[in-house]
Amino acid sequence: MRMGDGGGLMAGWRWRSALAAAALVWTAAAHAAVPVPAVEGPIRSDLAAAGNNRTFFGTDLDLAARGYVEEEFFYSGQANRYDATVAGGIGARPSASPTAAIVDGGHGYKTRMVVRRPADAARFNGKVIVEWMNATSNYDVEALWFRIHEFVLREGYAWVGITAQSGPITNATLGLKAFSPARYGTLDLTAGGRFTSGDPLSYDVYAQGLKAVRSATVMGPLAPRVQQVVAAGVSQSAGRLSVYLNAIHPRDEKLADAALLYIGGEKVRTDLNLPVLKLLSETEYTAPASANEINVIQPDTERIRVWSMAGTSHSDWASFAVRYALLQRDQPSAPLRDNCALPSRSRIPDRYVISAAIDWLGKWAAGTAMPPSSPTIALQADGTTVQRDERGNALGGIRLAPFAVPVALDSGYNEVPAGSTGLCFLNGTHVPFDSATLAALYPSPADYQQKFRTAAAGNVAQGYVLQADADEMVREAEVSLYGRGVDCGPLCANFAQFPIQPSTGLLRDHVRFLYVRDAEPLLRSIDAASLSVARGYSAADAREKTAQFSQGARWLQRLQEQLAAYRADGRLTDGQAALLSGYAGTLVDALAAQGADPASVQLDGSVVETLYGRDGGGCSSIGARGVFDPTLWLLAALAGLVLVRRARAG
Amino acid sequence: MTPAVVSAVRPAAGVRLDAPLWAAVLLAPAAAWAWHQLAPPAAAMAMPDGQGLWMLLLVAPVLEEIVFRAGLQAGLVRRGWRPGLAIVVASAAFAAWHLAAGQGPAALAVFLPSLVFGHAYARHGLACAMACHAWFNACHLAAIAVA
Repeated sequence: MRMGDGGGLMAGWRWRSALAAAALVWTAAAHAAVPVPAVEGPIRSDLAAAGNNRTFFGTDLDLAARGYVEEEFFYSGQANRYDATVAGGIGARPSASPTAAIVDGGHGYKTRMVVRRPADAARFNGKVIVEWMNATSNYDVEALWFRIHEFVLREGYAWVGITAQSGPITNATLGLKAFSPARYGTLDLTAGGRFTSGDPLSYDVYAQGLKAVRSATVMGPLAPRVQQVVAAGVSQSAGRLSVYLNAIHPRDEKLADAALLYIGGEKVRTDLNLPVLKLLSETEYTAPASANEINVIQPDTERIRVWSMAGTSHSDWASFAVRYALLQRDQPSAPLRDNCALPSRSRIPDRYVISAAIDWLGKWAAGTAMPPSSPTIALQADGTTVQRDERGNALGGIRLAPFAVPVALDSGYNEVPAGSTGLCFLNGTHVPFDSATLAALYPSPADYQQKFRTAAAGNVAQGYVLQADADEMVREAEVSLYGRGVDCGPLCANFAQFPIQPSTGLLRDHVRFLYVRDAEPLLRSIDAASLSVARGYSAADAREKTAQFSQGARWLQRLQEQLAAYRADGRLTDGQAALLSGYAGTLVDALAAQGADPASVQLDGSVVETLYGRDGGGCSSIGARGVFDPTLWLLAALAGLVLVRRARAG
Repeated sequence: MTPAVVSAVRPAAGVRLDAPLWAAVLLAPAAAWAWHQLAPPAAAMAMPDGQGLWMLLLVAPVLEEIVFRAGLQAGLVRRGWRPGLAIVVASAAFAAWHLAAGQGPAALAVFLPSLVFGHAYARHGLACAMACHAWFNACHLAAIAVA
């Protein structure tokens, strides 16, 4: 190598170093540091406190049993206004906001954040999901938490919910100040009443909330272990978050490592410095313009993914069912059912795909893996109408096992009833197939379960579902009634909602989504009730029908006894136990109206065994499968051997 | 083989129960009730149907006592094990059998009544062990019925 070459290399290196240094200086100058807000808390929260002086929507899940704690903080600071705009509804805009400019600054604010995190740092996986809480209902809706709490608790995430908009604070009847003036009276996102619409401070309020998460003020002992922050918004708040990501986050220091835009948001800029996954339900293909994303769907890039889930609805069933007791406690005027033109809410479990999406975002931000792409939901030639199969289910998209192995029409489409207003167009629908269709599709439980297992394995292989969630789906399929040749009539079918159509299927969901500690005995009782009621509907004569309905009612009474015991030892709250027991009582009454007399029968353990196998409630070690039980014959053979040897020994 | 060992391998079938056995038999209903109170919810059981009742009250006591007492327990004693230790080992196997039968960890509680059955077998013979086993199962069913 000649000296001249070496000198040239050195000169090139120096030139590149100078450029890098200049870039660093420019970056530091161009990306504003986000101030750390002043934090108060954790604010003491006591369910029994006078004047509702407790955390609004403080979870009623048993966090302690899962090694988690919930804390609420207030934080305050100074926020800018920007010239960014946001589309209405879910923020679906077919263009990406450019970097915003500051209109003015120095506006004081005070808001709150709720933190649910592992109590012990050893349980923490280093990732914090920071949800911009949805403001559509004029009270804070933890729309993501309600869907993914089980994933968060299982995997060791921390979750933070931020009140970034004013409506949920100030609404005269539903807002935080109305809920507890003593606790929330000082919160303000209007700069003392100057900005009563448009929430212009929301972007900085959210950004400073992210900063607090990163700056050791709200994460307790987890603070040194925070590795990733995932920004997340749902529907309306996804719209806001998308504007923040496009218009404000690029101005500031990098506070989010990845972002989830769930069922909303404008087009994402392709030059962002973080991965963004937008996850759409079928509703965003069928809803009116304010909630329709067809024109917003964009190609995947190295940092953008758009996933679409066929058969799912914008307003899902699980996150609604899980909050009934909470609504009764903290927002009692909110209705516990939908009043839509069609039976409301798809039962396809979108929450599992959300979990997979968040899991991918963590790996993607760390640079260790990239998520798969997703097919879009198939559209007809007009480019706006969803293609459907002969039963009405959509084609294309991510097809979760409960949709790929269909037992119902599940769709993102619903309608506002004639003469009414509201958001029913977000709700989707679920209409179980009739018995003849189910019998033709699935001649036996084994047939249904095998198809389901294959589809669930496919979901995992494709990267849309985590293995633990697939296992959960399969377990549910294995104890279902599909393929058993029984007619799951109105008091059994998972259809509509209480009290429109009370059923054991609905009651099961209300119990299951609470993920109660040791919940299986409760579910077994409900499943036994479901099978008994279904057998009643399928009975050939009135006497058998009455006997089966009586058995179903007896199992529901058994459930009520169990609920009382669970309440007594703290596994259920008063509200949860009362709600669930009340629903069980409603069903007992409905069955009694059909002639059932639960006092006339004893619990038949074989009903549970039909669904769960021999460990499903019997109490003999042998013969649970009848005279053909192999354990019976094994024991008989051993006994025979012993007797023969005894006889020979004299 | 010593006379004592011979006695434990195939005990005489006496009808006069000893005091500990009487105590265990009389305490069986209370023990069954207590188990139902203390058992985890997952172990809570439903009343079996007619076939299950036959299994619990007749088939299981007969077959299981033949295998675990007349077979395993006596076999261990025949090989020179101390009778007390043989009762414990046979009871452990009995509990493991119930665990393997899919009844959950709470089924391990059968270890305790199994000690009684082993004692009954050692002192009074196979028929007594079977009767004790059936009696304990009947108490278990009664506890389910009143739960």
